[in-house]
Amino acid sequence: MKRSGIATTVCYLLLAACSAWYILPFCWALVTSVKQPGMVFDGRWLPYTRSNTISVDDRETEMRIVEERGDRFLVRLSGTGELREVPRADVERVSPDWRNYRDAWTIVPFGRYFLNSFFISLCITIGQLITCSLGGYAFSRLTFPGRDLIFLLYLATLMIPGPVLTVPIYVLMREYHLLNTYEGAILPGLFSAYGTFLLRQFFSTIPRELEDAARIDGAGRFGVYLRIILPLSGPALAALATFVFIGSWNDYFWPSIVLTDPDKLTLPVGLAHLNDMYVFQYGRLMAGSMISMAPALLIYLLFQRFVTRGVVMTGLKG
Amino acid sequence: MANRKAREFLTAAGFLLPNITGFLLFTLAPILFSLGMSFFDWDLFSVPVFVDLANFGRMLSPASHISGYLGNTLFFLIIVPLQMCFGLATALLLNERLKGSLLFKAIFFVPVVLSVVPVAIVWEYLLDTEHGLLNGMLVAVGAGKVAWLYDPFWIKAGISMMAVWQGSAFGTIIYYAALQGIPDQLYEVSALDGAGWWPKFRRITLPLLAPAHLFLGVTGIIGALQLFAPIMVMTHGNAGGAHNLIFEVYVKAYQEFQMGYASALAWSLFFVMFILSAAYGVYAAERSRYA
Repeated sequence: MKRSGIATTVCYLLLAACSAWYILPFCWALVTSVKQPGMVFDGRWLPYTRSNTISVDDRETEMRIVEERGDRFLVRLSGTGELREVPRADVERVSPDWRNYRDAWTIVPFGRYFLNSFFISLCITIGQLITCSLGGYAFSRLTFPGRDLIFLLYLATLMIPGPVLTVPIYVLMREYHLLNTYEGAILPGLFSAYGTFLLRQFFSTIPRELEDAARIDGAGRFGVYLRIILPLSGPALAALATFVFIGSWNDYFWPSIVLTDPDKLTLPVGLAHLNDMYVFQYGRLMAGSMISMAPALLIYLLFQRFVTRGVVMTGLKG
Repeated sequence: MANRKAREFLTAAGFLLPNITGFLLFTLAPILFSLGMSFFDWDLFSVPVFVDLANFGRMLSPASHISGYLGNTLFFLIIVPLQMCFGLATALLLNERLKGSLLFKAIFFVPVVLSVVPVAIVWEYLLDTEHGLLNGMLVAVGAGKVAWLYDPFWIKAGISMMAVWQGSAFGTIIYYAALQGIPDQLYEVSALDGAGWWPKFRRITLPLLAPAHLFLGVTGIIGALQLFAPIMVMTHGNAGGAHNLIFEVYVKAYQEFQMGYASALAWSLFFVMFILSAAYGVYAAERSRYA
């Protein structure tokens, strides 16, 4: 399609505006996170660091800021007590200060939260890959009485909202003393009707002839599943895995209810605690937010293809 | 023959066992259990007492504040059209395949992988009355400061803005994928007929995106009615003017342990959700028929 120069310019302007809408909040948070404590609310787009020394006659001398006068500072030298007016650039430099990160990391056990989140998400991802692929195979290739009815029941439950399910699951977990345990956080995530549906749809597109050939060669059903269906479903499995992992890594509602022990919290729940403990300490809070967003961003950059494919598969075709 | 059938059945049972156990334990049984529980009064500790429809009746009394919570729940529906429009607009821009599209695509898709908790914390800061970026901008253009986080109306608006910021990326991805599926020939033919940009968009693009509209509309409605984490995080657990039905379920179930009433609330929410998404589904189907 041919496009006029004006149309192209308009497109670029709109693209830039949309990018700004996405990026500006993120940049603002990033800049805030590397601001010097005490400088967090200076309202500038760059992280300025104020030093407590100033060079006087080529010697670093300790000083204290007495007053801000427009773009100059009135400072008192600590040795002689002399007052001096110096330009802003002598006192302030643009340089990131990582203290907020160190503070956030030591105030709450972020390392521990990382491990918890990683362990829980990994278990859920592996579990779902197993249960959903086994189930998906049965629903797509095996014949047994009531198959379509059961599958329809699965689909019907997709509409049921989370809170309808979580109240009874909470009761169940309490009954079996699984509240505040990793098992309690993991078990309900090991199955999903959505994943089963997704893989069933994908398996149905694999030509039946391949399976028949293997069956003639004497392979059992499980052999076919393991050696033919799974290897041919790499993209679908990868998409489901990425999607489930990011989903449970980011999940907040269920972990916040089931986990209370500070040692067992996941990253989002721990971060929410930090937010409640240090209201308005935005430097630290932004640092904590950046820390917890980093892994998902990294996964996204590495597996962008799988992520978007996962979204599309669970979306349009699912 | 019977033997073979029995073996096939056993194989199927083996394949299905882990899956169906999960389904029964964590989906079907909880559904039935919570349906039953909504007719009981139960605090988790004493013996449940059958109360018939009292839990549902209680919602109708003004003391339950349910009408207010329902109003807040419905307010968040504003997120759905905004997300869809913004998602469609960005997808159309990406689909122009200009130089640098890949970079823009990477930027537009990012929010979909971000966890809602840090995003909510960042937005709480953006919406801060004294130090927030948004009020800073408002003051810069001569408008007054808005108490985003404390005013019963603006808190809902602020949370909706955050939800649109994060959620429209999902729409972008879905619409972008759907746009790839529209054959170029359709546009070429209509270009021969002299159709401009708007008629092409109105007569070809929009109708052919019907499955995407339907999907995003329904999932959007379901998501907007269940908005919880941003409310919890940005208001530090007191919800204020953003107190919606799901927040009420949370309070009743996990803070006051009124399990029966909480279940009744959850089912009522499901009912609202079902009606609204079914209504949208019917509307979308009608629209696509006459387009």
